[in-house]
Amino acid sequence: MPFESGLLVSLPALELPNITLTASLFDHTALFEARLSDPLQAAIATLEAAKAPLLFLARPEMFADGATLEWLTARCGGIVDHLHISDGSTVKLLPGYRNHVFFYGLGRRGDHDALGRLENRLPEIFAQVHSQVNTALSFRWKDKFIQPQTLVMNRAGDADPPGFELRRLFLNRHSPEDSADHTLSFARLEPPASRFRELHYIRLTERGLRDDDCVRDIADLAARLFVDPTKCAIFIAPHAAASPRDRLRVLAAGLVDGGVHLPRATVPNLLTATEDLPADALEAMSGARHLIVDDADDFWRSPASFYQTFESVTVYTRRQRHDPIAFQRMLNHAYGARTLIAWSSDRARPRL
Amino acid sequence: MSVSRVKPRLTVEIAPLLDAQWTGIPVFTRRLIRALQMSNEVELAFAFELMRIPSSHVESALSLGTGAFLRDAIEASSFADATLVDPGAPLFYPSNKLHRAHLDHEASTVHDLGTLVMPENHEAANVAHHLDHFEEELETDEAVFCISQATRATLVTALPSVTPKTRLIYQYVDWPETFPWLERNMPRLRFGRYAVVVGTLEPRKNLGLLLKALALPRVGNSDLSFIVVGKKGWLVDSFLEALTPEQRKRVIFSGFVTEFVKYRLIANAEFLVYPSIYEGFGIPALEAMSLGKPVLAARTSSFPEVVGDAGVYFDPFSEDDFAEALNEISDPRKLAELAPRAIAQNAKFSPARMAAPVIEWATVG
Repeated sequence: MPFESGLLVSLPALELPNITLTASLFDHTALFEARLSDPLQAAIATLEAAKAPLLFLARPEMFADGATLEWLTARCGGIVDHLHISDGSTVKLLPGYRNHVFFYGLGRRGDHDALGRLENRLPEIFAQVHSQVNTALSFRWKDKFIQPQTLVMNRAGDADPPGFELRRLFLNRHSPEDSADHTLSFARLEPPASRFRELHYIRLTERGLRDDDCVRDIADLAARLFVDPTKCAIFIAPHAAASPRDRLRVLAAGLVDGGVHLPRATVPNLLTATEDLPADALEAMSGARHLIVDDADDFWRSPASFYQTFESVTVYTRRQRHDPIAFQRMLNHAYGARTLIAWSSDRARPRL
Repeated sequence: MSVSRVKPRLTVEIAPLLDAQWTGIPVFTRRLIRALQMSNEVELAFAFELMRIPSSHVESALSLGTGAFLRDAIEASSFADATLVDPGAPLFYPSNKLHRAHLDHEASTVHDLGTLVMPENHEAANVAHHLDHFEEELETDEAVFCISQATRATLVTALPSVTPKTRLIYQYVDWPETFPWLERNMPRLRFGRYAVVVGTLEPRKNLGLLLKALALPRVGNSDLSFIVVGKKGWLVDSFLEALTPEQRKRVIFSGFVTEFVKYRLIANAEFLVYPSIYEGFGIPALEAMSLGKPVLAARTSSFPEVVGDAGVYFDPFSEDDFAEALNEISDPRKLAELAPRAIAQNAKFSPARMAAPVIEWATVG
């Protein structure tokens, strides 16, 4: 079990105002009433699932040296590991501790871009990280690559996902807002039982939706499925924003920009939801089930049992950030051994 | 026959002095120049963007305590006729310099790493300004001066390759000699009992803790008020707008004040409150201690190093801890106990101590 002697966890600073803090060091009870974002809650739940004693630290930067560090160490009961849950804007290190990082929500464009800026500015900082939880990122520093070891932590249990709302997908190629509004205006659907021969479950992040090759494949798939009622696709809106409307807007914008063009008419086999469907609903809907995600997918948001429902898992990724062997190993841990990697070209899509 | 010793040459970059209002790094620069002049150990020259700046220009700015006229003088000069700095002399930057070194012997100064460790408290442009070329700067510097051990520890934890270059530079307090007698001749301040908070208003100053603590009966019922001295910085507008009328009665915001007004306000306060979450050094603490005022300080970053045993510490996230510490330091017996320690602690930070590491670098590299 990782972190057996306990783990000091520092949270992303932008989420600290959502916690009523009464001390710089606190346990998980302080988080009960906190209004943390869904992705951060999922990251914390993943750490808690490891059953290691967790102690939370509001601001590791307070404890730089000398008396401050002694004060902290005296209250940590022999904990030697510190993990920063990072949104990509920085990696916080605690001197004298073994430092780890858990990048969550890197599928959000802003956070992913922030990590890129950090890597450009101070790549050496990544060489001070002992392990990365649930990512297999490598960083270039001068003439070498830095790749902190990957520690895969799946979410335990069979927790049902939060309530999903399944609807037909509507795309107005001229307006993501209109796409979201129309989609939300449709009636909620119950997952249809035993209707489809094949189901494609597409859970792309905001960043994945900007991957040319990935979205082009999705566009081809959507075009084929539009005229083939025996097959179905469900698009899960990315966790790029808090409100369902905004998340559907991001989904619509990404799909349209990437070349997914659908007639205004909706069909019963191109569906969307803002939260995951339960595995048993997917199993009831279709025979063969295929999962498509990108490399920034927060796979730990779902328990490992969720992924067992899929016959195949395809992960789209861009080559430059990953060591193929470590990445494949991590994906196999995360999604199961049926995972295929689809390497996208590194070209950024020109945007008008 | 006496042989005069050849002093090592040193050029100081004076860009920070171009600010019209001097706080923080401009004041640090002024103190360093004065400390080096007092040492008489180096042949001092000045530069702005590798142009030599006449000493008389700098001396005039130092005397006036503003860079307004220095800026005018530089802008009025003919850049075509500018003289370049002596390339053989070490070039010292009192702040980070934001680019690669031009000369073989350059050093820069790291004041804090706020843009790295708490980027959310800075505008994106400010983070870019400080960090975009930081690595190149450190890589090409011969020496990197850190203004506290805490700052150095934060730097080398993130970037250990810099470790061999790092040196400590501690600044000191230099109130003008005229201030004490000017103060004696001024009418008494009419604020009643108060503590003072000094520094540019920005999120990491953590003034919210003070306001929240005022809601606690043991703080709210006290007759102590708080005067916050400092100009409005960044990302604080919503904080100031949200102040209640009760809070405004107990917490007075002075805005930017002159050095003498700041001196007066500190000299007449019972103690200094420093609730910051993170500081590179914390010069207001030293300023207060120089006037025999203890410090109620957050237990964070550089404060234990600067304040030593001349203060009472609290957890900056705990209103209860703050209230308890406030209660302790408000006791006249505690103040009397801490006042001489404050004077003694301040005495550890002198011009000679500030100049020594720079002279050593200029002399032996």
